[in-house]
Amino acid sequence: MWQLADQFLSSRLLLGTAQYSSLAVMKEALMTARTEVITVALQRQLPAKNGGELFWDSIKSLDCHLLPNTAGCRNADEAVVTAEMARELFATNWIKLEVIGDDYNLQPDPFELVKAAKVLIQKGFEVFPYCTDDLILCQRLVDCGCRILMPWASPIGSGKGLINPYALAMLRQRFAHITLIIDAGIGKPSHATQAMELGFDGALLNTAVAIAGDAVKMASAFRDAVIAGRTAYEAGLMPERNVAHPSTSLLDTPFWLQDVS
Amino acid sequence: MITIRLNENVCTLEQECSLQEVLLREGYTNPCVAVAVNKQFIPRVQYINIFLKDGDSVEIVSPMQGG
Repeated sequence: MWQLADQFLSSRLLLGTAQYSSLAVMKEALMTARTEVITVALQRQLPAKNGGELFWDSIKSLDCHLLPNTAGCRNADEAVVTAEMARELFATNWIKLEVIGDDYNLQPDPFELVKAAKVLIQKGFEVFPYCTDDLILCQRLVDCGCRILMPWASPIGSGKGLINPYALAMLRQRFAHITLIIDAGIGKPSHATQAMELGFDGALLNTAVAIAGDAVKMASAFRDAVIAGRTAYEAGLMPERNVAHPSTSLLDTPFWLQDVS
Repeated sequence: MITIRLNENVCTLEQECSLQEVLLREGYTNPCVAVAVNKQFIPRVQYINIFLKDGDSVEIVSPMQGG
C-alpha cells in the first residue's frame, strides 16, 4: 500500500478515461489495469445530449477515486472556476491542475499554474499540478502547499517517453517527501518502468493505453510495467559503471593466469 | 426582455429569472451538472437565489472522459 493524498492505494498506475474506442473497452481496460485512480473532465452540456450521463454511470460502477482535470484552461482564473465546478460535480477535492501555456506542445504555463495552485490550496483543494520538470517551478508549487507534483515525461500525447531523465531524477532527489507522479508523454510500458525505477511514486497516462491496438492488453502491460519499475526501485538498482566487470569471478577458473607472460 | 448566454447560445428571457428557473426552462434537467455565471462558480444550493441579468453568461458543464 502507498499513500496518495488522503488515500491508501495498492496500484501505482493512474489512468485517463479519454480516447477509448468505446465505454465498454474503457471499463475493461481500467479493470484489467487494476487502477484505483482515474482522471475525468468537464464539458459544456447541451440539454438534448443529456451529456455525460452514460459516462458517469460507467465510471461510478468502477469504484475508483476520481481525479478531475482542468483541461482546456489557459489562465489561473479559468482553472479555479473549473476546479470548483469539478469539486461539486465529482464530489472530491482532488484536482489535476492543468493550465496550458502553449498550443503547439501543450506545455503548462508555470506562472499561471503557481497562481492557480495557491488559490486552490487556500480553498481546500488537494492540488495535483501537471507541470514541467523544471526544478524551480516544482519548488514554487511545493512552497505554496502542493504535496504532489506531476511533472511531464514529454508533451501530452507525444509518446516520447522521458526526454530529460536527469531532471526527473533530480526532482526525486530534491523532493524526497513529495509524492511524484510522472504524467504525460508515456508511450510504452518501458517508459513507465523507467520513471518508477527513478523512484517516482506513480505513473499517470492515457493515450498509450487508449489508442493501443488492444487497449485491454496494453492496460495489463502497463500494470505489470509499473509494478516492475517500483519493485526494482525498492530492491535497489546497481550503480552504472564505466568499465566492464566480470559477472563470474575469474579467480581459479580453468587456465587462470596461464597465458600471462 | 433580457438576453443571456447559455454555453455561448443566446437565450432571451421576458424578465429576470432565477438560475434554477432558467435551467429548467431550457431543458437542463440532468442533475449531473455544475454551473458558473460570469466566470464565477455557483454552488447548486444557490441556483434558486441567483437572478440572471441582461448580458449574463452561464456555463453549464457535465462529466466527460478526460486524461
